[in-house]
Amino acid sequence: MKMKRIMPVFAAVKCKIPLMCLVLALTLTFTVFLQLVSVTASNRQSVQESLDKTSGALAAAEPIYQRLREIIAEEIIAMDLEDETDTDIAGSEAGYEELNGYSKQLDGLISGLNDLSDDPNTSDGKTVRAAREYLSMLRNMTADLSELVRYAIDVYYAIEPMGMMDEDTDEFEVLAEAIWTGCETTRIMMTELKPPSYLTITHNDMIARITEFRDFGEDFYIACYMDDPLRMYSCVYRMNRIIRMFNICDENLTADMELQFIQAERRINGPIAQLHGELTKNLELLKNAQGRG
Amino acid sequence: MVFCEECGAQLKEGAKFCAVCGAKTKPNEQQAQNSIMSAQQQYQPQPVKEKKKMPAGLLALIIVIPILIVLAAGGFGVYTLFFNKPNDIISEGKITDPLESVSKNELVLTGDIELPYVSYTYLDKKPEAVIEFTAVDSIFPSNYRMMDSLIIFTGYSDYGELDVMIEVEVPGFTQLYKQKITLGRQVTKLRIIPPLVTGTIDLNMEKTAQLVYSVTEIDTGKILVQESKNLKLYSKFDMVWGDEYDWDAYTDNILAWMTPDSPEILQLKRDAIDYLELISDGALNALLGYQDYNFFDHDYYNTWVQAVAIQGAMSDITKVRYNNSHFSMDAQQRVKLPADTLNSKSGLCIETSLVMASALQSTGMHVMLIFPPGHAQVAVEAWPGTGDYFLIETTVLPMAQDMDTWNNTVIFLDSEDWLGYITGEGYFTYGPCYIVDCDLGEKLGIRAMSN
Repeated sequence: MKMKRIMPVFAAVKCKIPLMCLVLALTLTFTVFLQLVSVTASNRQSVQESLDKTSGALAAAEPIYQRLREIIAEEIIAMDLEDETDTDIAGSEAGYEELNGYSKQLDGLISGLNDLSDDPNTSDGKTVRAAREYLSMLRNMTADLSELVRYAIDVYYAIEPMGMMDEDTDEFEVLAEAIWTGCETTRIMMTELKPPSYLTITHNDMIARITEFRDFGEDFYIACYMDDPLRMYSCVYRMNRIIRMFNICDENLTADMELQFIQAERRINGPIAQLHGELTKNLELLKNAQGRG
Repeated sequence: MVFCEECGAQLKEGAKFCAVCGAKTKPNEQQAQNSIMSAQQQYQPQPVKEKKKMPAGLLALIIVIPILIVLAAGGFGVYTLFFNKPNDIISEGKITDPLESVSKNELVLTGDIELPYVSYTYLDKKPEAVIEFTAVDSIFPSNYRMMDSLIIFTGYSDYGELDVMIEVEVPGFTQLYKQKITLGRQVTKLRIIPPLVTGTIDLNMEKTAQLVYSVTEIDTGKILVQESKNLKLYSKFDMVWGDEYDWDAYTDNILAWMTPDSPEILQLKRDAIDYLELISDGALNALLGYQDYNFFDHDYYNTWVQAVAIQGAMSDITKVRYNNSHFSMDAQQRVKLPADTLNSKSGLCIETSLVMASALQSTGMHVMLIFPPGHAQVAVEAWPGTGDYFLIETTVLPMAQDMDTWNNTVIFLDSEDWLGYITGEGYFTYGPCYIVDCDLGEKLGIRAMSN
């Protein structure tokens, strides 16, 4: 009997299983659809936000990109006209500040994209990644140029004392003392500079040449003081070598610095321009597609 | 055909759960790919099979079907969210690059958003090294240590950093130079001078040598550059005095021919002591440099007698003879090293001067090389810090053993005489002289190849 009482219950439950399944399935389906609607809206919004933020950052970086191209192009032209161009140290200082400003702006733009997904399997994620890479490349370029410009400015100030060696005097001893003082001041200032890593060897070579120049000043002073014609003439002839070696080192340093500008030009008109072009094209494509969606 | 991992029952194609035991199934690659492809094929829902009967125990399947419908309709984003496993299908389906399965014009799905497939060349590229070498065509061995570079390496890497090993060698002349560097976006430029090989190098004759250089990628061992080029290796006697910019810019390089510590110079000094003993009847038996023999009434004679003794030893003991050949500083010149001059018992003015200067410097004296036009002589400071010098004519070979000859060989000139002599305006002169202070070798970093 008990069985009968139980069985109908069981039977009732059993016969209701398909119905319950259906209800459950419908409930689940409904839930899933609710989630889908919510997720769809959320994803759409997230992709929209991602694309908006990315294109916003790129738009903000565009003037920097264009200005960097200008700066580099101007430098490349100036290299060819080096002998005819006066050193514009104030302009260089302003350029350094300008580059530093860009570096900070680019840092901000890069961190603005930090919270966006960069899933390489999605077009928007890939675009975020590409945009970050592009902005980092610009950031690296401003940092590289700024480091180079700062070094060039510092060297300019450091070698300034050597420019004051040409005392208008007939007194050899005064001249020799001016040479020693000028070179020693320059040597100390150069030693305190931190060159870009790729200029370290040439920088140290330059310090060695300045030290030779300083030693020459000392020997010339002694020669004058002793009134020793052999020492004096050996110094005078030694001057040929020192100047020749100094010029070679100076040419090397200049060439090494110019090389970085040539490389900057190649980078900005090569890989960076390529990525810039692809980002511009793809963002337009993605935004248009989303507009249709 | 796929089977349930739990109960072994055969699974229907595309089933996410086992119809028998209800266990969750793992889609195989083909299934996953089919799911993607089917989802991409115009977003048609998966066909739901006609239900004739609803067998008990198929609860899971009932649940799965609507989900599959939703999946098919909504794309992978929902699947991803629902199972809380991002990229499940994609990773399990081994579809890591959409290009492998989707053409460029097809759509890539981002959640439920249909976005066109985009590509970025820069992101897909691997680091690429760009390398250049510029090498000299010739080497003057004795001036090798003063060279700016033997070969200049220039390199950078696009699309990321690259660790490389640079190797440069002139077999038989230099050691193998090895340098590990990281190439990056900035240009790395190295002016390379590999160290000389240790031991004796046969450089008596000019010859052709091979400059061998290579660059290898460290991680992969891939050789990026492996080249060699011929270069002219001049003999160790060849000397260049200047370049097209300055005819005498490198005259001081002659200091590389100064070998005060060579065995031949030390032997000459021993011979000079013998000569000194001979001419002083045994009263003087050492080369003291700037020390007083307590024998003369003036300090300067201490120096004078030692110069005479060295010249005498060269003349009478080593028996070197003057080779009256052309010598010029206007062009490339062959100059023997002191050891070769002494061993060959013959030398030009510059060569005998280098022997004398090396021997005097070896005793600690302050010496200068004097170059009147077409000639070479030596000056030695008569006493330290005085600014007075003896002029030594080292071509007096053989040198007679008498006071007149000695006085005409090692000649004292006062400051005024010297000024006239070296400017070419004195009564006793060859013309304007070029002067090289032999104490400058260290200051200018000029060292003999053999030292």
